[in-house]
Amino acid sequence: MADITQNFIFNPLWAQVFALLALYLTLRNVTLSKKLAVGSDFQQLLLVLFFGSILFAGLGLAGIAAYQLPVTLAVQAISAGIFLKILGRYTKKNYYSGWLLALNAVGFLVSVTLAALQVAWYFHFWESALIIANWGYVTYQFYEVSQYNTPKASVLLDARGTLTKLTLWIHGLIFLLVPFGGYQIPLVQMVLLPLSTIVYLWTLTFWHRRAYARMSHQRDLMEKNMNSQYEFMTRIGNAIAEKLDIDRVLDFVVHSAVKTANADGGAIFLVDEFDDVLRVKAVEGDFPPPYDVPAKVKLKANNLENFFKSTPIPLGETIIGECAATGKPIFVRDSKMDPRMVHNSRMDQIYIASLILTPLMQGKKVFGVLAIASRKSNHLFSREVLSQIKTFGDYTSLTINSLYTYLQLLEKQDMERDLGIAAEIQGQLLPSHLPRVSSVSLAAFSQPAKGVSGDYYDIINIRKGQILLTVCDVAGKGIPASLVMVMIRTITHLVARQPQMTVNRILDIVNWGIAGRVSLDRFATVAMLSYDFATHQLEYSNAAHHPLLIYRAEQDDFETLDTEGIPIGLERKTRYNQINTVLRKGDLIVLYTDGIIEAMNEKGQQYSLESLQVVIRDHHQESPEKLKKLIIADMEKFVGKAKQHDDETFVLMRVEH
Amino acid sequence: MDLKIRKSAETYIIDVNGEMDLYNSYRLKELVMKMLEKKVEQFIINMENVDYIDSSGIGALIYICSTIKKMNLKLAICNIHGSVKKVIELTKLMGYFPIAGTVDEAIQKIAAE
Repeated sequence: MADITQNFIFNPLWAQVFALLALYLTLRNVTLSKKLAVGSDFQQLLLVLFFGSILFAGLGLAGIAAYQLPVTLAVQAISAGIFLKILGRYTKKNYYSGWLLALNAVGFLVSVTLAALQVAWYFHFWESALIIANWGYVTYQFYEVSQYNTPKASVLLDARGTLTKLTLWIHGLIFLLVPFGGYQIPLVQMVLLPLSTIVYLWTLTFWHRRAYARMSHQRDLMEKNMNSQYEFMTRIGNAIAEKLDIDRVLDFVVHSAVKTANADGGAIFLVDEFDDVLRVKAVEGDFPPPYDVPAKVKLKANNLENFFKSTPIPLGETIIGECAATGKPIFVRDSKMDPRMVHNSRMDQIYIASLILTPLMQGKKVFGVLAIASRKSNHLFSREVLSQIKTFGDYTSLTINSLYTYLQLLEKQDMERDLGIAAEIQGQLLPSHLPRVSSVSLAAFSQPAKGVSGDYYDIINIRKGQILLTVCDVAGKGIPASLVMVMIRTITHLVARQPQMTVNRILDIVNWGIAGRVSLDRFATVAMLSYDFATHQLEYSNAAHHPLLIYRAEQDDFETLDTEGIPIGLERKTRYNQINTVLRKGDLIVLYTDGIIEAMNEKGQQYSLESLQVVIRDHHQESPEKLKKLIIADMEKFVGKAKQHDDETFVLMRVEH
Repeated sequence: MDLKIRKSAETYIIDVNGEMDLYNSYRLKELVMKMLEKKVEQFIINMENVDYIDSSGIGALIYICSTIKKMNLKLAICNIHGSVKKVIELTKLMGYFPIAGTVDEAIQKIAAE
C-alpha cells in the first residue's frame, strides 16, 4: 500500500499537470494569448497529462507499476506532438513527422512487451531513449526555424536556444540516471521532471512577452520613425525654402541621418560629374573611411580626415564604390562578420562596428551615397534603422532632383527677364526710319525669335551721296549680346563718317574695339557695305557673315560678293579685306542673316537661298518695300506653323538711277 | 542637350547629344571650365550627335577653344557634320577650331601635338 501511495504522490506527471495549469491560468490573463491561440493547445496538453496521471496512478494502485512507464512514454510523445502543433501555429508550417509517429508507436509496443517481460534495466533505457528522441525532434524543429517566415516565428528564434539546451540537459540527466533507477528515483520525479515542464512554461511565457514587447516596440519605433521622418521632411523643405543650396541640404541630410540612427558619424559621397569616382561631400561626427588606409595616415586624426576628404573612391571599388555601382543599399550589421570590412574590424582609428550605405538616385542613375557608421561594438544597427536610412536616401534623392529642376527653371526665368531688358535696349538700336534718298530705295525687315534678337542692322548716311549698310548677327542673346550690338553700333557710327574711311577699316576698328573686351562667346558676324550714289561704287567687307547677294537686272542673274575674315571679337589683330563692284540701275542687293535662308518648315526643310532668289527674280521690278512683303509672305507660306528659333533679318537696296 | 563624359587614357571625351543653342550651350562651357579647375589637360568634344548649332553654340566652342589654347592644353573637336559643319564653314572658323574627323583621329591628333 505504501508503494501505491508513493507511486501516486510521487507521480512526476502531477508536477507537469500543476505547472501547466499554472501556465494556462497565467496566460489567460495575457491579452495576447487569445490572439496567439495557444490556449486550446494547453487545454489539450493538460487533458493528456491529467488522464495520463490518472492512468499512471491507477496502474500503480492496481499493482502493475511496470506499465506506468509506457504510459509516461505515451504522454511525453503526445505532449511533444502538441508542442509541434504550437510550433506550426507560430510558423504556419507542418512539423509532424510520419517517422516520429511510427517510432513512438513501435516504441510503445516494445515498452509494453518489455514491461510484460519484466526486464527492468533495458526497459528504462528504452523509455529514456524514446523520450529524448521525441524532445530532441521538437527542439531540432525549433532550431530549424531559421527564417522569419512569420512575424511570430521570430519569437521562436529567440527562444530556441534555451529550449534546446535545457530540454536536452534535463532529459540527458535522466538518461544518465537510468542505471540508478531512472524514473523511479525521487530526484527525477521531484526535481527533474517538474523542471523539464518549467522549461516549457518559461519558454512559452517568454515567447508571449517577447511577442508583446516586440509588437509594442515596433509600434513605438514606427511612431518614432514617422516623427523623425516627418521632421526630416519638413526641415529639408525649410532648408530649401531658406536658401536654394544643395550643399546645405546635404549637410542637413547627413546630420539628420546620424541623429535618427543614433550613429557616431555619417557622410555623403557624390559621384564626380565627369570622372567615375566618388568624393566626400559632407561629413558629420566621427566617420572613418570604411576601407583600408595607409598606416602612416592612421597616426594622426588630422591626417586621416584630410586623407579621407581628398581621396576619391573609384566607382565599384571599396564598399562605398560598390553601393554606388550597384545602386543597392548595403547593410553591414557587424563588421566582424563581413569580409569587406576586414580593415575596419580592428579596434583602431578606423574601427567601424556597424555600417549602413544607401544610394542617392536620379532616375536610374546613382549620383551619390549616404552612409552612417557606428563605432561602438555594443551598438549595432538594426533592420529598422536600415529601412529608415533608405527612406531618408529616397527622400533626399527626390528633393535634390526637384531642387535641380527648380534651379534650372529659375535660371531660365532669369534668362527670360534678361531677354526682356535686352529687347528694350534693342528697340532703341535699330534705325527708327530709313534714310530717304532718291538714288536708291531701301527696305529692311527684322524679326526676333522668342522676343529678343541677336540680329542687328543699320543704315547710315555717312556723308552726302554715300550710304552705309550693315547687318550683323551676335552670338547668344540677352543683355550681353545687346551690349555687343551697342558697341558695334557706337564704333561704326563714330568712325564711319571720318574721311578716307573704308568699310574694311571700319570692321578692323570695330573688331579691335571689341576683341578682348567681351566674352569670346559673344562674337559677331558682320557684313558691311558702303555705296556711293555718284560713282555707283559699292565697297563690301565681310566678317564671316553670309556673302552679299546682288541681283543684276541687266543679266537677270545673281552674283555673290565675299571677303575672307573670321568673326568680330575673336582676335584683336584680325584685318579684314574689301571688295568693290559697280552697281547699275535696277540692280538689287540683299543683306540677310541665316535665320532667313535657314527658316525651317514642319518637315525640317530649309527655306534656302534658292527660294529667296526666285522671289527676288520674279518681283525685282517691285519697290523694295513691296518686295519685302512678298518675301515675308513667301517665307511664311513655306514654314507654315513651324516655330522658328532663329532671328530673321534682311535689308534690301535697289539702285533707282 | 545632354553631355556625357568618358575617358580614354588621359584624354576626356565629351559626347554632346542634341541641339547646341542659346538655352543650353552654356552648360558645355561650364562643364569644361569645371574640368579645367580639376586639372584636366586633354579634351575631345565629340559632336557626332549634334545636328543643330546656333551662334551661341559656336560661341561656346570658341570660348572653350580659346581658353584651352591660352592655358596651353590640348583640345580636338570631332565628328562635325551637316548643318553644324556648314555653320562653322560659313563663319570661317574651320581653321580656328582644332578639328579632327573621328574620335580616334582626335586622340591621335592630341597625342601627336
